[in-house]
Amino acid sequence: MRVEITIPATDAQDRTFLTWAPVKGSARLADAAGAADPTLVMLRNAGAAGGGRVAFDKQRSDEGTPELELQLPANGTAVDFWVAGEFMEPSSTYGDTAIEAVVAGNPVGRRELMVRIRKNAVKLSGAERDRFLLALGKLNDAGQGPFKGFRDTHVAAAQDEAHGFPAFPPWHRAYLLDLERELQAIDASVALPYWRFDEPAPALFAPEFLGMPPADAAQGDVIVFPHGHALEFWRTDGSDSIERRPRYDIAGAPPQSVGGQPAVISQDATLALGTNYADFRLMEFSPHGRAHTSFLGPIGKISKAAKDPLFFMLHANIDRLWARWQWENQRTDPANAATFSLGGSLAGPRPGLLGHNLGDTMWPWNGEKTPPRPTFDPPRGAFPASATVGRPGPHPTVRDMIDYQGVHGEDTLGFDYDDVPFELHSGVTV
Amino acid sequence: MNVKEYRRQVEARLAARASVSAAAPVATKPPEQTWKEAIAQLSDSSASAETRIHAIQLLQAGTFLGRQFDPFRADYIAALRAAILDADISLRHSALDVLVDFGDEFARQKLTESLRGIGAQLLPAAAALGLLARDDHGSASEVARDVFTNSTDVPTRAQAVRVLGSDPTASGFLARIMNDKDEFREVRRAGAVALRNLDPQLFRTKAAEILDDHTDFKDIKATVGGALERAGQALDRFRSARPSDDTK
Repeated sequence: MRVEITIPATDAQDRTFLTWAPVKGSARLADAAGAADPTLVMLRNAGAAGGGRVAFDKQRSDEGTPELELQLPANGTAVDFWVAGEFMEPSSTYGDTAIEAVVAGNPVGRRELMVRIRKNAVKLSGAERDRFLLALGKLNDAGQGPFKGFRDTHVAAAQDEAHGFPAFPPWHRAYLLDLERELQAIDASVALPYWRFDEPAPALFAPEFLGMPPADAAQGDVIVFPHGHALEFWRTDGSDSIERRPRYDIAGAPPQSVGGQPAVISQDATLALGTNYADFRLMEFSPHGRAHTSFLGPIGKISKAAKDPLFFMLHANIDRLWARWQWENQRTDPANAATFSLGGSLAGPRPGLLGHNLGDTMWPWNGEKTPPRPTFDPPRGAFPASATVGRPGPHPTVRDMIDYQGVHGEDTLGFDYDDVPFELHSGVTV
Repeated sequence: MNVKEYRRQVEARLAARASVSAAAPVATKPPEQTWKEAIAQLSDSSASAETRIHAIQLLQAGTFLGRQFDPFRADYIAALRAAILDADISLRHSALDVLVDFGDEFARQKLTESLRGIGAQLLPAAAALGLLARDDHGSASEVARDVFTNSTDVPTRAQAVRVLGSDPTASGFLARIMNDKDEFREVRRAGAVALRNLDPQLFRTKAAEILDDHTDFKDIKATVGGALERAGQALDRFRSARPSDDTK
C-alpha cells in the first residue's frame, strides 16, 4: 500500500515550501494492494526533532491540527486537505519538516518539506545565517551579479516611485520579494531575515554576520570581514566593501528619542500610530528614516542605502511592521480605505499619483520609462516568477502587495514573518 | 501555536499599549517646522556638536521622505558645507559623510586638499580616503597613490588600495600588493578584493600563486580561496596548504 501526497507549493525539483497560509493538497492511494475501500489514513507530522511543523484541516482555516484523518477510496481518487506551516514552528533547513501518511500505525507515504519563514536575524541558526550570506554574496558576485539591478533600482531618480507617497510600503514589499526570489533561485532554503531595530541585535553586527568597522573612527568606516567571509568581496558602484558606523551602542537598540525628537520608536509605538493606513504611513519618517540614519555610511542616504545589505533587513522589519499592523487591525482588503488610501499625499509633484494608486503597476517591473517614471532603462525586468506560488505575476500592482497571505482567497505571495500569523477575518468565508 | 490564543495574548498587550503609546515619544510639530529648526541648530556654531549632529540625523531622516523635504534641501546642504570646517571632528565626519554621498564636489575637494596637506586636515587620512572611495571618481587615485607611498599606517594604506580599486590602470599595482608577503596582510587583503573586482582574470592567476605557495599565510589564502570557491573554482590545493603562523 502506498499513499501519494501532493501539495501545489512544490517546485520542479519536487521540493515543497509552505508558509503560515494554508494550501490545498491532496492524498490518494497510489497503490491500493491490501487496502480496504475506503482506507482510513492519518496524516501527521514526522519531521526532525526541533524542525518545522505543519497543521492540517479539511477546510481552509487558521485552526489546523497536527493530525488529520482522511478516508481514501481504493480506486485512487484523490481526497483534498489543507495544510499550512504551524505558526511559531518554522523550519531551519529543507526537509526538517515532513508529512507522513499512516495506516493502522504503519507509514505508507511521506513528503518532506520546509516551512520557509522570514525570521528575526538574531534568531537564525549559524547555518541559516551562512546560507543567507552565501546567497547574498553570490547575488552580488563582486559587483558583477544580479544584485546590481537591485542597487540601481533604489536610486535618487526613482525616489518618487517608492518614497514620500502612499505606495512606500507596497513598493518596498515588492522590492524585498524580488530580492528574496533571486536569493531563493540560488538557495531555495533561504528566507530574508529582518533586523528588529527596536531591540538589541549585537549578533547581527558580529564579524560573522554583517560586521562592524574598526572601533577607532580614525581608521575609516569600512567593515573588515573575517577572511573568507561571504561578503568579503562585496562591491557596488565600482567601490569595494561596505561602509557603516553605528551612531549608537550596538549592545542596545537605537534610541527611541534623539534630541527630544522621536527617533527609532518601538514596535508598540509604531503600531499605535493609528488604525488607518494614512496614519500608519507616518512610520516612513519614524522609525523608518530614523533607523536608516542610526548609522554613518550609505545606509543613511536614500540614493545609496541599497549598497548595504543591512538595507534589506531593515526594510524587512518595516515590511513586518506593516504586516503586523495589517494582522492586528485586519487590514487586508484593498477595498477598505482603512487598509490603503491616498490620504495625506502631497499634491503636485506626482501627477495623478502614478504608481501609487491601487491599480497602478509598479516600476521597474512594469518596464516603463516615460515620465514621470524614471527615463533610464529599468534595472529589473519583469517580476520573477516563484517556483511555488502564482502571484504576483510579471507586472505587480500596488494592490497585489496588500493581501500577501491571500486571506481573501487568492494565492499567497509566498512569504511570512515568524511573529505574524495567518488568520481569517470574521466574515471571510473563502 | 493556536492563532486565536495568540491574538488573545496580543490583545492583552494591546490593552497595555495605551499606556505605552502615551509614554512613547511623539512628534508634536509638523516635520517641516522641526526641519527648519534643525537647520538653524546645525548652522549655529555656538550650539554643541552633539546638538548639531542630532540635527543632521533628524534632517537626514527627512530626506527619506523625498519631495516633502525638497524645500529644505538647499539650506541643509549649505549648513553641512559650513559644518565640515567646524572644530569638532565628529561633526565634520557626520557632515562629510552626508555630503560625499550626495556627490558634493565641494566636500570632495576639501577632503582631497586635506589629504594633500594644502588645506585644513578634516579627517585622519584613512577616514578621508574611505569617504573618497565611495564612488569611482578617478580624481582620488592620484592622491591615493601618494598617500600609499608616504604612509606606513595599515588602515591608511588599506584605504588607499581600496581607492585604487576604481582605477583601471592599477591592476598591476594591486597584483603586486596582493602577492607581497612583506606587506601588511590587511593591505594585501584590500589589494586582493580590489584586484578581484577590477581584473578577475589577473586575480585568478595571482590567487593561484598564493594558494600554491606553502609559505604564505593562512588567512590570505582563505580570502583568495573563498573568492575562487564562490566563483566555482576547485580548491584542493587550498585545503592541503599547510597552516602558517600569523605574525605580521
